[in-house]
Amino acid sequence: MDDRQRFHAAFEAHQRRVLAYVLRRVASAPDAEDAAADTWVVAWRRVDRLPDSDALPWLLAIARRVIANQRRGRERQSRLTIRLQRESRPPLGPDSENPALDTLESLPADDRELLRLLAWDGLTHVEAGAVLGISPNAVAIRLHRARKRFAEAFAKGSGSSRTSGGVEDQKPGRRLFGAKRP
Amino acid sequence: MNEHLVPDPLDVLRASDPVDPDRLSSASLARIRARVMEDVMTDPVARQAAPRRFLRLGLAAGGVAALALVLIVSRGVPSLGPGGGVGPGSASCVAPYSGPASIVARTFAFDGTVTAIDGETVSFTVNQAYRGTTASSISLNALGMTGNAITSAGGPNLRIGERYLVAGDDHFAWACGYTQSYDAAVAATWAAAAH
Repeated sequence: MDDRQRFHAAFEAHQRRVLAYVLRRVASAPDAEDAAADTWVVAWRRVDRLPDSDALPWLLAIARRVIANQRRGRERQSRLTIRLQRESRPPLGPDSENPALDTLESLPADDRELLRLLAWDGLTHVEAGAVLGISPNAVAIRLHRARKRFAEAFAKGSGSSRTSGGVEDQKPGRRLFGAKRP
Repeated sequence: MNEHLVPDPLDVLRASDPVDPDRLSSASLARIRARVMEDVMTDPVARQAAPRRFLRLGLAAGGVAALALVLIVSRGVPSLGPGGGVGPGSASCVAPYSGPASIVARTFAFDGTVTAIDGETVSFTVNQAYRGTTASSISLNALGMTGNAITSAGGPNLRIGERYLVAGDDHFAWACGYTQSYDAAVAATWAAAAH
């Protein structure tokens, strides 16, 4: 199987998971499409490192960096532009007050990302470690702490007071599409 | 301990997952597929060509659309043979058209005549539908197959009044041989393959 065939196989196998990953982490559907497409562009550029099996963690690690670059690019834009983008986002539905999501948003970024990888992206500890560049043992330690912080914040209902800081604090573009239905 | 007073945080979060991978927008997936196809799958650059890789790295920062533009324009317009084969020095695709059986993997295929072009949106009168559509006319996004300056690697430059064999997914006509100038013999093989 040559590079193009390997890439194509990975694309067909994981395009939905990659798009779902970015949708959960960016502010808008267009940004998610950009990030997903850029992820595949980078993956193609590095196709010589594309794992023959279980390529998803490798792809999500790329997506994570693409999203970080996207955020850095946005942070360089003027405050006015960012404010306008925020205002132009579709209003969040009633579920924007979901206590679990609000609690998640109140956690440190490292905790948040680890919990999302395990709960939403369905990765194992080993796979999550590959995305984050840490050992499975470190994943277990971080997870223990993240669980504890989440449980405490959830119990206190601290998530109900939503933060509204910079781009990093923006909520992902949820319920824009691919939304779960009751 | 507090973590025992509430359900497992992972279970709580799983129940609140804002995205269902099985319900993603097909239009969004198709747009990404089209961009990847245009910008990556039709990459005419040998992977080992280091200077060109640096060129691509720089271009990537400017956006994937610009990448396709510069690569294609700088190398001229690749042509597609009557049978869908790719000519010398032209692009290749990860999922290239490899004969009539290829169209079975696409959601639609038809013989159509272009009636209008608006940017990348191309309207066709459907002369004969082979699969996936019963419409008498259809409008599709034909990325890279319209205009004069940018012509897709592996796709024809669509023109009003001309007849084509068209295959693709969702609202996108695929290049890479899936859309090609009409040829009666090829059309007959498409018709046979689709049934």
